[in-house]
Amino acid sequence: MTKQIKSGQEILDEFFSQITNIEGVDQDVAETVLKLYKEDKLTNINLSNELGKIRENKKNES
Amino acid sequence: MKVKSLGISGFRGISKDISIDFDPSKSVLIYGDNGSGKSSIADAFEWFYYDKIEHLSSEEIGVKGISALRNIFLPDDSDAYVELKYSDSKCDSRKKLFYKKSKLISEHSNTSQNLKDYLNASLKERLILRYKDLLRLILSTKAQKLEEFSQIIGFAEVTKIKGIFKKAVNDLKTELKIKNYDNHINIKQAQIIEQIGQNIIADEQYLIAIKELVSPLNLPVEVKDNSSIDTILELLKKPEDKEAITQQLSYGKVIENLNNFKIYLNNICSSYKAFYEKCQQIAKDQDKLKKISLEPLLSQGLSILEKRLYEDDKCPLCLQGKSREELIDELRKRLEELSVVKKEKDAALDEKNTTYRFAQVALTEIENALKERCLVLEDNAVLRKEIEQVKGLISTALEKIKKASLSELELINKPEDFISLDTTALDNSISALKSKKEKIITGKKDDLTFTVYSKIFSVRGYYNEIKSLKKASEILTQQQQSMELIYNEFVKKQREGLCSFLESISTDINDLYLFMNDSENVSEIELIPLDEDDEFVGITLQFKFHGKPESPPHKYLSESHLNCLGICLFLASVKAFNKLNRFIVLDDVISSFDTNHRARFARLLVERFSDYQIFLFTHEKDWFEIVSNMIKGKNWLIKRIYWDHENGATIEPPPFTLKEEIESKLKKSDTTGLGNSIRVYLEHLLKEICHDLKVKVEFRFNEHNEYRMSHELLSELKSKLKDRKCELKDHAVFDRLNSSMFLGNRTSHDSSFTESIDDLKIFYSDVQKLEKIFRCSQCGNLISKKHYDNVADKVRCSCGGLQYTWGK
Repeated sequence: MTKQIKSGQEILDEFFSQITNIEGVDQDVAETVLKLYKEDKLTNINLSNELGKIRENKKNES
Repeated sequence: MKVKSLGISGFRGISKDISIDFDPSKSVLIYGDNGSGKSSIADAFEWFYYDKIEHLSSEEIGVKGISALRNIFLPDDSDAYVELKYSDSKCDSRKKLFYKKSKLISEHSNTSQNLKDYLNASLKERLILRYKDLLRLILSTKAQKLEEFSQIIGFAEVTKIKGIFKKAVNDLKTELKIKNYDNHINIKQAQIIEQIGQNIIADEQYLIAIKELVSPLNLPVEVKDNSSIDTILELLKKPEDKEAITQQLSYGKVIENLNNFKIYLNNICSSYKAFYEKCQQIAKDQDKLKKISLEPLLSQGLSILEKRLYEDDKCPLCLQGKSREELIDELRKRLEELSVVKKEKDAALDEKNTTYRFAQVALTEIENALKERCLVLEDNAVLRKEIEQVKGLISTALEKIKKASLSELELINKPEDFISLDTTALDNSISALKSKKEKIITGKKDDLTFTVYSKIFSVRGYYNEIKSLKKASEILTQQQQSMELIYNEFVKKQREGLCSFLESISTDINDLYLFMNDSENVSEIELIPLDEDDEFVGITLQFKFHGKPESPPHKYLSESHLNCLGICLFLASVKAFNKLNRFIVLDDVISSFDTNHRARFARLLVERFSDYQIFLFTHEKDWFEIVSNMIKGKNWLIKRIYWDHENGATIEPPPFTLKEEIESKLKKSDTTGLGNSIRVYLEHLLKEICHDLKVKVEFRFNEHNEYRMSHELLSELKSKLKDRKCELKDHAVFDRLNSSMFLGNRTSHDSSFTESIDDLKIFYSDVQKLEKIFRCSQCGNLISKKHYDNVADKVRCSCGGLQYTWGK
């Protein structure tokens, strides 16, 4: 009998549901990646831009 | 979801309407000769679901094969359509294909979201298998298998996101490399040391250093924080010092820019050297270089062959004789070889891009330096000119690296010729600038206030910049590390997912294959993922052959076994992934199977896929007979499709068994092949009777045992009946059959004898009489030794309605 196989989508949903729990990961980065995924905007350019914004915000905080 | 009815009109080989009602709980066996329209039904399914027909999609026919979809006899103003009705009627739809302003348009009658969602979800499921697709996956390269399976299980998105994460990690690493924070910090620290003779690495040290600077002035402000330092600077500031301060700062900036430039220059040289060396490695193998330029041609050739646009057993370019399969195999291997070289090429291009980025940043430093006001001064005209020359050189280098191409390796400069910059001259320029800066300070060396102000101002600036750089470095490093953690976790998830899927489907493939091929020397079929540097690069099909692990399957397996494997792969995928649809279409998939495997395949479908609605098409008469027998009394419909000039493709109610074929021909007085059919029928009947009554015949080896002429069987049967003192022994039918069998034999062979329909009617009548005396009219079974009554010494049928003496 075939075991329950996870489709690619299920694997992705499962991964992203737990991304903020990955040990040692910066929460801003994890939340940004999650947000982009949920909005179906996770692309090289968008991620690069958002990471750049995070860096700017953190620099300005200090 | 199962299919309730199918309607096709004007589509492919089907000119007039055909409509088939199904019971969604039943599967369908459709028999039809080649060209009768069976594959048009499979095409109809494919177009309905995928909006294209793969085997028709070509450059000549057009994308999606659309220009070949409408039946050639269909008037332009008529619609071609495929209509499907389902167990869930919300998805019922008629898909039309019609001309609108000379353009072919397809349109569903059902525009609901239900249908859209259903069709979308169905794209991920395996619904149709054709003979030509059987070997495609088996013979594909490891990379192609990975791509195909990734698509099947929806891994394309997973792979895409992995690519995004990997790029993000690499981009952040490159950014760190380019920013070179450590070097910038070192330069600033050197400048601090220059000012106050010591380094500062912490806030406390900074405050102490400022205190020490300020102490000779005995100011009323205590140095305790940045705000107090700002206050001190305000106190010490003198308008007449402004120009000197500004100039000093300006010189400081230019010195900093040039020092930064020196660091970038080193980076440019080392990354360019790496680029050059990689290019030389590629250039060493001239063959590989040429192969890289051949890659588009090989890819196109493979595509043409796979799509069967060229089917001759010849190379389409040189027309040299070669089997299509061999050519495909060879092309796939060559393209896979090229992928290795492509990696080398990509690595070289990475170095080129890094060099380019360093050159850009270096140029920016020089341009920033040239913007400084100190270089505008007349006194510094020579210095400015020297720096402008440096700008010219770096701009030229930037252009060179931009134009460097792997297709013209001979034009790529050697590292020593890439950028001919005299670093000594640069150092001299920096020294000159330092002297000029020093002169300003020296000129005011007696002005303690100026000196203190200048030092504090500079140290504050440098220290704040160091802190800013450290912060930026920390942020960027943390981001890079975070992305790396995310990437690693993702790779783990991907690996788990893919391995779990491969393990599960391997179990099913193995199980199905062994069902059809038990007691053969193949076992433990597995799909194994292959990876390189955290990347999945392919999937290989491994199996044990005579106990030894082997790969790939076509190394040792025959075409028939490979096709069998292809079917198992498809069916295992159906089991794994078809969550929405519970029907599949199998279009003439057993052409290369031998009898034994055909029977097993039929059994597999009937036993293991009984909960699926199967549309099974075949043109193979023998296999049709096998399956028909197997599915009697089970949830299957049997249909026949045939084609004639007048009506095109037509679906007929239950098609012929041999008996029905004979009776139909007798009815129509059609003698074509009738004698042979009756003879075959008689042989089959006699074998059954002899089997059930355990009539002994002469021993023969292997399959020769199957080949028994009717007269032999009849003779031995009579002997047996005589031996058992059965009342049938003297029945007149045996003599009658002997004479009418003669007729049957004459018509079966090449002879000038022309049978009449009456002769054949007599022959068949005698066969029927023979059957009548052995087969019970109530239960339909033959008399058999299984039902021997050893008390009454009688042999009978299963219900006892027919019985005869069977002495010891």
